[in-house]
Amino acid sequence: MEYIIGIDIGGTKTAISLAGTGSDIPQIVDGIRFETPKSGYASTLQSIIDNCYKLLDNNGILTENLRAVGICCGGPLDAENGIILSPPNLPGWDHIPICRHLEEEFSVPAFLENDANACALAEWKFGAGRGCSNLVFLTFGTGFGAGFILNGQLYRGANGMAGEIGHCESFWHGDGNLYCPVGHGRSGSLEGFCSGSGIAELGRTIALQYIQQGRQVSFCPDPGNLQNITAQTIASAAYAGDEAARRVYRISSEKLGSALALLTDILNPELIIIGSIYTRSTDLLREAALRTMQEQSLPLSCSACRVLPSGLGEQLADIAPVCVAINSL
Amino acid sequence: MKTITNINNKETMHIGNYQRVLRIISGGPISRVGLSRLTGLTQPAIGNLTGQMLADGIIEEAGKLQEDTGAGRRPVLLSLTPSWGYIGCISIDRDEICAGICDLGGSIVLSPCYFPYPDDVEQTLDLLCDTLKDMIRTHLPANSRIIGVGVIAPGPLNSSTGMMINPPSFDRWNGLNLLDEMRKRLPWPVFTEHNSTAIARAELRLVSSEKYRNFAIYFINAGIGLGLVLNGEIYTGIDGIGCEIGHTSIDVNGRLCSCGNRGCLDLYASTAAVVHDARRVDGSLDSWRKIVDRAIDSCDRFCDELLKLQASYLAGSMINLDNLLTLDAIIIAGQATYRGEYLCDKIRRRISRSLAGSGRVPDIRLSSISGHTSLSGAGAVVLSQFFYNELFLSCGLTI
Ligand SMILES: [Zn+2]
Repeated sequence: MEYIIGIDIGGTKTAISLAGTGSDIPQIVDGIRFETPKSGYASTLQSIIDNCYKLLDNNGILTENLRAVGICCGGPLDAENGIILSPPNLPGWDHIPICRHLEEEFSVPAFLENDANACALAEWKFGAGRGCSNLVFLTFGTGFGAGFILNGQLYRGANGMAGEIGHCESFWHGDGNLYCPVGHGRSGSLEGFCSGSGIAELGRTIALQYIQQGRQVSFCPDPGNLQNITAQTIASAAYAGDEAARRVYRISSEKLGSALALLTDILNPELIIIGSIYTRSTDLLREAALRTMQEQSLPLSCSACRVLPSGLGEQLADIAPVCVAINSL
Repeated sequence: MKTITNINNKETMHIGNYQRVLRIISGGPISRVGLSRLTGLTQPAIGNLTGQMLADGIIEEAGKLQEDTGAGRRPVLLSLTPSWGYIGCISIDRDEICAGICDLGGSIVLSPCYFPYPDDVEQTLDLLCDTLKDMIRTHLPANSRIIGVGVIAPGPLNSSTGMMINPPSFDRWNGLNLLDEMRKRLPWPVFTEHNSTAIARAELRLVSSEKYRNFAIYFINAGIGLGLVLNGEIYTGIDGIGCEIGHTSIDVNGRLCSCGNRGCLDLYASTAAVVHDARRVDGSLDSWRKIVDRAIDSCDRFCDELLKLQASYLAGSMINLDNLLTLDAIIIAGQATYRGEYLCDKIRRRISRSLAGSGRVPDIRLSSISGHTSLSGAGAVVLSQFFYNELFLSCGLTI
């Protein structure tokens, strides 16, 4: 059996998975997670390499049986040349030829993609998007980005930076133009609403509002707790019926719906898959998102486009970097 | 009729090579040696294929290479014979309908006919088809080969079935099967496509594919259409329905649109929208061209402001699109190209101001299509069927 190592380099954690390629879906044999060292790329690279060897050793796999290495991390990056440029969540990483380093170490080809593209590939090949020619994957986690499979292949765009859907809409306010009246409810880019940090920030604003009006907020009993609010604590409160929490998720899902409408109009895809927070909290987000999508898009494209949570679920994070390698082999 | 599926492998390969070599020759004069180098086929194989094409009359020898290659002989150049076949081109749009003819090289050979717009859909279709047949009979040499007819219309339009589905502000055409209706009236193969996609096809034939692998067409008339070329290929999404930008909202609390949405781009940045806004203030400003002329020639502040506003709406939409797709270029086609550098320049300035930080700005430019844009688009639909698909097999070539 041949094996592929998948490496997901995140701002806080790095995860390495070892996958066997015998069957139709890559089998995750084992994995290691560790804190991404804060001391820059050299020490991180070293711990990545050490942990790869550890994984291989622990499972009694010889490096000869390693077929390839797939890497995903946040952008910006140069996928074609395997270079991590300077992602905001990895300070000190500047033009790092990560693929070359790993190729030299393991003598197998290494491939790099950003997170959204890696997830799009994984869902397309093994998840909810199997058999589709045109699909969009939306990360709805730390950030809000899109990965595209278009005309049956990964679409990276000019200079490989496509998918910055989180920046969309930001043009429409704040530049003092005629069509940006105050109080339009459009006070930020999509990322400000459709991401973990966006939801938490929105939660703080709304909680403060409620507290000032003397109303109960179960996820934030008093203003001293504002900084501890996370998307997760708001979600739990929303599931328990807390009004303020439900409002946060409704606003977020309406913005998500606008993003879905924009995507269906412009790209007319068969499928949009939404990861992370949407996959975990589908019940909180689905209804209002789909309603808004329907209201704001042309009926034909909208009715032809399915919207689904990740088909690989919790496995997605492990399989995505592996798929980066599989797609390029 | 031959189809790719009912012929054997060897034949498929031969046909594939014939089509590929012809496609290269259609891009401009080239020698047999050049063809061999580009395709990897042997010189005898190229000799056979081009011999067959010469006998078919679809290519011709077009003089010799200027430069002496040093070997003493200057290689003969081969080029496409545009008059080998003709294509009927029909465009149906909200503000005009027209018909014309182009040749195999994609040049419009008969100046397009425009019509006053009958209210009745059946009458409109009859008029278009009768005129086309008439043009072919009276203007082309007898027995000219008609490869097919391309018919384009605003979206959403399902290219494979030919069904027009709820095109906004185009109610009378809703639910019409354009393909069936045209086939009833015309004796040639008919192909339909969403007009902006067709124009992207025409543009794709003209632009350098290395320079512009990913680009968008903004087809700006009474409505605004979007055509996309991604990874060097036409992109249409499901069922060839194509892409839409005119009904994406730029202001959720804005003007109410006939599509049910609010603040659609069409209502602010189409030529019709600008004329509508202008006439509310000055009744004499009843055409897009008048507004542009007055802004440029008379330095009219009001007209200039209208165009500036239009440019900012378009720029906003383009920035959103570029955030999504990071494009090499965004190309403007349609009525808005009339003295279009003026508008283009305003858009460019807005976009470079907003994207300045990102270090990458797409080229904003006017379409390279000379002549009638819509009819070139309609022609390109059939040309791509001929050079890339099976239409090629039923046109009387000895393959
Ligand atoms: Zn609309």
